[in-house]
Amino acid sequence: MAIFDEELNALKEKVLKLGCMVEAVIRDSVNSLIERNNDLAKEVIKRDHLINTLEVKIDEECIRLIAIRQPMATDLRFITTAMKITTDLERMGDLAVNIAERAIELIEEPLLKPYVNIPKMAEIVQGMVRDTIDAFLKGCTKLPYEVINRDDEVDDLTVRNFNELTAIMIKNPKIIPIAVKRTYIAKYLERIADHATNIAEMVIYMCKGKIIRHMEIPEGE
Amino acid sequence: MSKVTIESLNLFYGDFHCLKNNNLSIEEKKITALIGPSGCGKSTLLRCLNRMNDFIESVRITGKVLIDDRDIYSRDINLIQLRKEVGMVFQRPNPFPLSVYDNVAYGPRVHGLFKTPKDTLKAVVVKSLSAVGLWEELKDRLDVSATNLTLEQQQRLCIARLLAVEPIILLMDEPCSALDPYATLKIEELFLNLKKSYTIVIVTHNMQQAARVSDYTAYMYLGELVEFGDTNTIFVNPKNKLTEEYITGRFG
Repeated sequence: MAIFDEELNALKEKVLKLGCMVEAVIRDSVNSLIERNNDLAKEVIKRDHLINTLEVKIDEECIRLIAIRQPMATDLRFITTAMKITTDLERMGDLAVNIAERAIELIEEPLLKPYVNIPKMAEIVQGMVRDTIDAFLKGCTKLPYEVINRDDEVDDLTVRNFNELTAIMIKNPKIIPIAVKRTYIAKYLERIADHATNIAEMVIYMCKGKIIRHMEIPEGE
Repeated sequence: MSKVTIESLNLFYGDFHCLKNNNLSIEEKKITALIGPSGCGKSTLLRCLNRMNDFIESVRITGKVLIDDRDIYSRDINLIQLRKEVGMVFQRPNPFPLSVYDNVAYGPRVHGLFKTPKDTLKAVVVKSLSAVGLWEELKDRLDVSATNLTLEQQQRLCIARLLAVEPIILLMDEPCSALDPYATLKIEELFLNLKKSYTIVIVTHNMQQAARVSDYTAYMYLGELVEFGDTNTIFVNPKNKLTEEYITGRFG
């Protein structure tokens, strides 16, 4: 195998590693909230610097490959996509930290009502992250389009969660500080889904050379 | 607008089928790059555009090359006029062992413009040298031998020599391969200036160069035109697998 191909494979592995780390902090941050596990929440916050460090490493590697190899065509699209999606992954990591921070605050407070929407959202969002990374590694399949469609489910759950909580707040204004934090958490998950959507769009660009951002996606593509 | 149209062009060197049914449209006042591995036929195709292959024995050509709808392979074509209109620059600068002035004046003189009053000829020399950015550098050294110039200056001079006979199309066969990166960059800037007035076709092994200077790129392999398109598409998102393999260095 040519050295350049080895370098591209190594880059792929690093992106996969970053994707796994991000998926894990999303899972753990939501679990820390639901299981009211303070230690787990703190641990998520601590792990963020590992994600940041790896993001910078991937960036540096991409810049090096562009300078040294002057990539063209698929190689160029692969490397520029890697650079862009790591930014989204890193932002997801930050949002997981935000979830963990709110979890630490909410663990101190009484449980308003059982968590129903948030675990559902977390499950969808984790799947979105996993599938986008999978699509990036394997090249284009239907996966990125499915991921983009799943973003609507997350948006719907965010609205539903917000409506349920505002109804409670209207009845009992005393719980507003707690309820607002719960709306934040849904919002963080919704933002993570948006970043996963960005990645899915970049993967479609990588595979097809077509930028579909800010466009209506044709059915069945 | 298309300046040159190549239609079903085939070229044989004896039994060897070198160009296979090439079809290509070359836009006016744009730069078209021909890329491909050694022996793919890109220089041969370039040389078809001013019938330079006619000099080679055993060459047989079928098909058409139209310049402004005029088939340059038709019987009534004036070859001297054709090569005046379609000039060529080669890999290695090849100035005549004459002075700078005489190199540029040579073309107008042999094309029967020698009766022009001397000041008019001088005006052509000044205009041509200015167009390639050599006038300021050499205006006080017009009598030195062209062979004493740097390679970059020599290549510019060769281009000026073409411009003096008022061509419409410039063919460049690896024009920068003898030049260092800085000189290459300067010549590339010159191309971008020249395309305002001329239609340029460039053969290059340097893919970065094709990507930098050309508006359109054609990829050739084993005598066939595999893919032709605007340069951005060819280098960012080529449609053909063979093009992809060549430009990403996974060829062969």
